[in-house]
Amino acid sequence: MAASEATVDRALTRRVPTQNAIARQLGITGVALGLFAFFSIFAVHFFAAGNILDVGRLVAFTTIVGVGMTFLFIAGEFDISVGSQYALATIFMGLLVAEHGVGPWTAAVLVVSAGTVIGLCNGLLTTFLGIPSFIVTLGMFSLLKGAALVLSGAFPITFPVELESSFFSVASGTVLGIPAQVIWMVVILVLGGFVLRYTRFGYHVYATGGNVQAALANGIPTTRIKIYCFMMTGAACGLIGALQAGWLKTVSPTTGSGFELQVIGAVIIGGVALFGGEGSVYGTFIGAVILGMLVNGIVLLGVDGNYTQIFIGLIIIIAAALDVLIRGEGRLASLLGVSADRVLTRRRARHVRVGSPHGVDKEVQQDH
Amino acid sequence: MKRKDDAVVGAGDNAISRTELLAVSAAAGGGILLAGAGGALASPSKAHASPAQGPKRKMIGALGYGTCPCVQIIQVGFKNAAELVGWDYQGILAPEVDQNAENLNRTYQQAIAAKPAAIGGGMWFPTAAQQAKRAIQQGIYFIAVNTPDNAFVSANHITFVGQDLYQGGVLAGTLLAEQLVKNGKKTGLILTGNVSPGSVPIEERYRGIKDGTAAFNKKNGTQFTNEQFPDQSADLARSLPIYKAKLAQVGSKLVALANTSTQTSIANYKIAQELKWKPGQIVMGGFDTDPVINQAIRQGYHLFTLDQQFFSQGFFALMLAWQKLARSLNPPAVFDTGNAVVNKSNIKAIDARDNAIRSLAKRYGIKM
Repeated sequence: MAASEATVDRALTRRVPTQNAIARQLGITGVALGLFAFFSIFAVHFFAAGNILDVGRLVAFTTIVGVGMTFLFIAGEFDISVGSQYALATIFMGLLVAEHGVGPWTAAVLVVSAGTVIGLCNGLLTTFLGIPSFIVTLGMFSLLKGAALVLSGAFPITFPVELESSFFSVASGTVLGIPAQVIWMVVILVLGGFVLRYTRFGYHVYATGGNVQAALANGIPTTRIKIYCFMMTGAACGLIGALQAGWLKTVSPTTGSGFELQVIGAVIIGGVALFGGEGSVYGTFIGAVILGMLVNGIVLLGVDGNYTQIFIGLIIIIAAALDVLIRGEGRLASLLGVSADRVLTRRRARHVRVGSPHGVDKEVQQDH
Repeated sequence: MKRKDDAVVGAGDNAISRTELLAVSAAAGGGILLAGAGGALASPSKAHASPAQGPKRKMIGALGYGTCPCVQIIQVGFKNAAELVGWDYQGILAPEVDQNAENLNRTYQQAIAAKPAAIGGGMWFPTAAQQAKRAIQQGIYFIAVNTPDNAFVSANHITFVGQDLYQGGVLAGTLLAEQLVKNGKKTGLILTGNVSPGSVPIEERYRGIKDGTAAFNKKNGTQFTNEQFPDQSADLARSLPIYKAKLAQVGSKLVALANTSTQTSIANYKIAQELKWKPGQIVMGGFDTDPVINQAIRQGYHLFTLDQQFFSQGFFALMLAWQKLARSLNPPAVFDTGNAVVNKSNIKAIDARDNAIRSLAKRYGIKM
């Protein structure tokens, strides 16, 4: 029972950023600042208000879905169908507005609702049927992409030129020069960050991903928590689908091509643990910003755009290596003398000197 | 340079001019329609093969790229011809957004496994030649549709039905340069976004654009340059910030946008609107018709688009296969469906034609 209490404690203390998590977030923030400085110095036009806002717009949709994906990752699941959900959402919006004459606001509400329902399906299939979320969402990736193609006939759908709606301003206007997409991103970031950090639901998300058995033992409805996380991700896809349609007034079933990799890349670079229980919305945002700066900065440098993929791949590998290093795992940590075993030995020695063996155990548990 | 209605755009001695093509098309189309009318009147829902038409056979379109609107129009052409001669037609598409050798190969493998009498295959990637060879070895009649593998089709006496991609590029480069000179420009950059780096039709068109521009420079003493960059235009929301960065990088050098695909053409139209360019401020033109591109032409953003007449590609591929298998009539090496120049002067006729194709598509259950 003592062990169980310890794991519960471990799961629940995830809510408080550990030293590792703080180090990881500082590290990734340092990488972002370094890239920003590099491109500002070497890429003409990078350090201009207009371009920085463009980077913001480039990362806005990735971040909005990334917030939902962060909850999902922390809860110990993930969703690789987000690109297809996004594509279907845009097509659904296009069909409702252009072919069925539904008002853009109503259509947007329906699209976000549909996204939530898709998330619910993913959640139910994963939790009740016990199919791993990778397999469920892999299936949905294909199914939803196919649905987008069938519904659109593979053709782009354009809104009538004469159609006017205040929704278009909300989706594509500016406030004090800041694009609407960036404002939506900030709203979702603040909301997501607050919910994850300060509410009971956020607490339960960390607990579910940290140790599902321990969370269950503490009466946390882990199944429901996971389903809610899937629904949040689906709703986020619906939201960006509606916003994209309102912004461009043209939708295409090819939308969202590779989007899942951008979102998952941002989440991983942002330091969200692959197996759940750790991470933050802030980290995901920084991950998305790093990817956005790379895409934008490389183009501005005049480098062949095909190199972008190489740099993105390198950054993901470096971020993952940094994660392993900070955890004190792997051969690199051993070589650098920061492996978890050595740290543990050193700490034990230190605590033995101060006569507090219980404190050693507690500290080690929290760090892992 | 001869062009528009009189340009010879086919390959080698077997090429036919556009004037000849129109005559042949009209004669073939008219004859077929008359021949089919009797059957259609007798049985409007289903055509039956008459003894003169030979036994009922099956043709498969191994068209890979299911996310391209062009493929749907090609399929309408196939279906229409199949209905007229009493054949069966089946399209095998790949739902993936990324057009790549693997998914194209898969469609070929599925087509060969079905053992049809004939296969019409797009050869967007060099690996298609291996699969086409397999089909021929198994006694399946093969016709290259939309994009040929030049070395393979000429070495194996394969008929190709489609646009001369390279010459289309030459024509596009020339038309853009001509307009730039009319606008008083003698130097500047003609920028081309690339939706699918490595894809044969895209790269061939770009090669043609570069050569066309170089030839124009040599003849007219101008100094226009070309540059290509991956524009990710399959996803417009992602593509537009990339375009903005690229345009900032090239700065005032930019004088024209030459596009090599439907997606890039739409992205060019959208970036022009996004940056509030006046129609014609930056000269734009390229390939393919589509409701959005047609709108860009009507509004004056796009100077022209080169129509490869997708319907004819499917229609004549099946008709030529039928001629060969039912009547032992050898088809030409190249059946060029043209680089018809579509601009403001004839866009209404193109709209009417596209509406007629849409009606046919509806009849065949193809969503467009």
